[in-house]
Amino acid sequence: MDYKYIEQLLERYWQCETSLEEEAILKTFFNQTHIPSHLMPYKPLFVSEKMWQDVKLGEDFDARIMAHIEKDEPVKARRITWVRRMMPLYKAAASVAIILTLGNAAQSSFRREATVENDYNYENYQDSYNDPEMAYNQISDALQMVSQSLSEASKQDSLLQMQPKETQKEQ
Amino acid sequence: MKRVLCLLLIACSIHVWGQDFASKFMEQCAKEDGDIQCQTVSPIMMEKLMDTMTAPNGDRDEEVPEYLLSKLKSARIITATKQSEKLFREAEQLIEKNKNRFSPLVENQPGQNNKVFVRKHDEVIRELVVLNLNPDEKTLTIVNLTGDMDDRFMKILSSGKLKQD
Repeated sequence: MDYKYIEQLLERYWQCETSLEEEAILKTFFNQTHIPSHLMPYKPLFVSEKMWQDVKLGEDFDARIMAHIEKDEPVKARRITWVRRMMPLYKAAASVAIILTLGNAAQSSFRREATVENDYNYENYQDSYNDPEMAYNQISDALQMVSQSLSEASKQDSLLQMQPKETQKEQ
Repeated sequence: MKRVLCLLLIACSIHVWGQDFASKFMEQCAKEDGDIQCQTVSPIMMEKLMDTMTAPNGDRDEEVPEYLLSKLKSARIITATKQSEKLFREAEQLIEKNKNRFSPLVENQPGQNNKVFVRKHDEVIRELVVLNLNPDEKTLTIVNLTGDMDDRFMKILSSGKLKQD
């Protein structure tokens, strides 16, 4: 039998010049049982294409896919600590504490002008004297000292203010 | 959580000074030196004083004008006979640390042993601090007055004549 036509088709196949019909002819030829030995090396090329064409989804494919999708994953038991449970409460309490503290601080700074007198913890004062007479004497001494200090300070201040004038006079 | 705690600490430190100078000084220095004495006349005692002054008492020879006492809320006198120079410097440093609160009444020169600081509000002196170091006797005296010390009060004190006219 003359296989010249097949050989010509093969040559055209390697040159990518074959049409679809010519390729179908080649596939049909190589799928038959009797193939000459010199053309056997080319058989797997044309047979494998057919083999892959014959591959189809099995009937159980849908069932397997659905089983995979609907499979319930096992739920792992996690131990939630007490701290973790109370965390939202802690966060809320911290937020409230921050807001209250900042608000109080801002409010006290605004009210500072009105409450300068309350700036001292007079409640914690413990009198050194129970007798008003002795307390009076102490205050008297203190005021005397303050008076002397103020007088000295005023003198010092006036001396300092006079100094530039004296240096100018010298010049 | 650490950031929250830091924020809280910062907020709390905004308003910490709620004491007079003498209390703060005693807190700081009394631990180091037990020889510091602090005499306190509280507002309650001041009121008692005013009551005794206004009550008829012909025997008393008032050295302190009633006006001055009426303007005072409290008085604290701190005395120290040991390490007086060191304590004087510490008092100065405490004032310097709180220079937003206290200002010198007159320009203080370094080396002066007598310094006067005031805390003013609305042109009225709320707190007056006098630091006095006696180098001969080596004693430190701090006078800390609180009240409503206005111009007339300061004028009477500055005049150097405390006897009532």
